[in-house]
Amino acid sequence: MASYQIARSGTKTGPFEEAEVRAKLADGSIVGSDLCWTQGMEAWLPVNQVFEIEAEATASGAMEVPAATAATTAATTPGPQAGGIDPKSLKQPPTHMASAILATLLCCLPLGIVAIVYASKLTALYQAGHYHGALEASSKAKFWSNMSVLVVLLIILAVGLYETFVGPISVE
Amino acid sequence: MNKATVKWGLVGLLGLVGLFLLYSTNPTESQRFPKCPFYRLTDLHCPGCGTTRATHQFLNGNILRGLAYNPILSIALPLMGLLIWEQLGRARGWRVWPVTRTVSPWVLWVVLAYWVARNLPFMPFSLLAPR
Repeated sequence: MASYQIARSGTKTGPFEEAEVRAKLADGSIVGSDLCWTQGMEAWLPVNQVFEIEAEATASGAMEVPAATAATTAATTPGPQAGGIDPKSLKQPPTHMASAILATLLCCLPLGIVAIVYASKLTALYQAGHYHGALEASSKAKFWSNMSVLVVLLIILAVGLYETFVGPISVE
Repeated sequence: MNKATVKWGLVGLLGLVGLFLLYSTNPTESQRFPKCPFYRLTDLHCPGCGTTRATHQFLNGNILRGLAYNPILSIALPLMGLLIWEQLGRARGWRVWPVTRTVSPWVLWVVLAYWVARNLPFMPFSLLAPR
């Protein structure tokens, strides 16, 4: 879904899909301390932090920079520093819960329910430290809220056009 | 003007036109407003059934009359206000009461239960159907 840009010492590459980033992490052409960014993120963050890669990668990153300073610098000023930061020190992505409820109450389709499910999952994911998952849930909640409204508008439009030009539909 | 301004400007304008039409015309007496496709197809009340009629009453100042059309709005509207307040507060870095985290485990089940309950044809559930 999301495509990430990767930066190392000021040079940007990408965008890469999530699977590509994981493949590059596996073959070593991206390392955990590289920074990544995708739409919806407020700042560039270390790859290991967004993709929750194994503890040893975080540990080796933390050895280069003391964890406490890394946490403050990486979260506030996007730069080449990295380290093990607590995902909870990052802002929670928008849940879109309000639009999900609105979409459900305005449009009589199960799509609004899908949006509510993602909006509900988001907080739990964020609390558990799965920042990447929370980000994904955020964009899905938004997508399904919009779809709910869009699909209902299209159905109403189609029915309206049909009844104007062809004749009343009876559902019996 | 950037893209976001144009987009939200258009959405806001359409919204205002819609609200004005809804203010001036009662959906129960007019063919101008489309009937819900779900209701036409199934004859069942979905959780949103009555929201258009309720909005007409709200805009004309009849809050209680509006709530009778879709009683869950009495919870949903204040909740949406709180959720928006939480989101805005977070963006400004305030410490806000975690509305989303508190309601997340409940919203889905309340909506689904309400969907079933307002279609049951006996008291007290029939109070939840649009009246």
